[in-house]
Amino acid sequence: MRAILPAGLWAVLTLSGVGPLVAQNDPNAARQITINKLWAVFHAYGKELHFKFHSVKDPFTIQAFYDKDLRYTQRFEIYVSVTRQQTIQFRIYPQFYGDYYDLDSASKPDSLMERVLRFSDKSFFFWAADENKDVFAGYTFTLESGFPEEAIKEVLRSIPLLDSSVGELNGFME
Amino acid sequence: MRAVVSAGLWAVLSMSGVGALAAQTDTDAVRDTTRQRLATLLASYEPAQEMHFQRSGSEPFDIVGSYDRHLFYASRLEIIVTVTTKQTIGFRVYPYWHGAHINLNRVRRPSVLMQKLLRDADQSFFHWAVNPDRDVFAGFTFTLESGFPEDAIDIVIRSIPLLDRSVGELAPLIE
Repeated sequence: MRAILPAGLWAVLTLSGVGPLVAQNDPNAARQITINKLWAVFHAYGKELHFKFHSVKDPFTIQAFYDKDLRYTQRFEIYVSVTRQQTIQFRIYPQFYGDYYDLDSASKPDSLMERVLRFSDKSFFFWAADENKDVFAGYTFTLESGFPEEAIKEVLRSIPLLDSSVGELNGFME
Repeated sequence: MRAVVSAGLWAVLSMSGVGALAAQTDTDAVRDTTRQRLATLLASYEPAQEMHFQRSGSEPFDIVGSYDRHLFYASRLEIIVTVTTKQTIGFRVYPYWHGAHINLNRVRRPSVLMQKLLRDADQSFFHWAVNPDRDVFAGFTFTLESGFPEDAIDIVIRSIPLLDRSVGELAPLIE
C-alpha cells in the first residue's frame, strides 16, 4: 500500500472539499525524494536556460526567476511545488511594472479573464488566479506514472515563450 | 532524432505562431499508436466503460464519451479526448446545464463566473477554459515526453464525475 495519496485521490478529495484533512496524514518522505529530483534537473538544465533558482521557506517549493530577452513582461516569477498529493505544480507569474497581473488592478478585468481562459484552451499552459486575484500560468504533473524528467525540461523551455501571451494582456492592464 | 514534435516544442511553436508548420512534421503514425493505446485503456478501464467512449466521427484523433450517472447538477458531462499533433493528450470535459453547454453569452453573471473558474483552476485538479464559442469546459493535458502515462490517465478518468460538484458551485452564476 502506498504511503502517499495518489493524485487522483487528491482530485477526488479536493473536489469534495476534504483535501486538507487527509493531507495531515501524509508523510513527507516521498515529497523529499521528488524535490531532490527536481533540484537535480534544475541545477543541470535550468541554469543552462538562464533561470535563477532559489530555496524558499517551504522546503517543498522552489522559486525561480527568468528575465532574459523578454519583450512584454519584466520577468517571470516561478514557483515549483511538490504537493502532499504527489503532484508537481508550476506557477508562473508574469510581472507588470514590478507587480503581478492582478484582476483588481486591471483596467478591463473581464476582458483579461476571458483572454486567459481562451489561452487555457489553446496553449500548453493553463491560466488561473490565486487567492489575491493575481493571474498566473500553470502546469501540473501527476506522478502516478513516475517522475517526468523530460516533460519537466520541456516546461522549462516553454516558460520564456509565455512572454508573447503576456503581450496580449497588457492592453487590459493599462 | 524523434519524428514527432515534442510537447514543449509545440508550446514554443504555438506561442510563436508557427504551430501549423511544426504540425506538418508530425506523423499520423505516432498519433495513431497513441490513440490505439488510449482506446485500449478506455475500453478496459472500468470507470471509463461508464463513459461509453467511441471514436469521433468527424475528428480521427478524437475519442468522445459521455457521463450522466448520479449527477446532481450537470445534466451530463461530455468528454472529448484528443491526441494532438504535438504529442499531448488533452481531456476536455464540457458540463451540460439543462441540456446545453455552459456558455458565457447565456450565463447570468459572466464576470463572476470567469473569476470563479480561474480560482478553481488554481485549487483543483482540472483547469477551466473557454472555447471559441465561449463554451466553458474543464481540461487536463498530458505531455508524452516521459512516456504514455497510463496510471495518471486512469486517475483523470476517475476524477471526471467529481466535476459535478464544481458545476454545482457555478449554478448560481449560471441562472
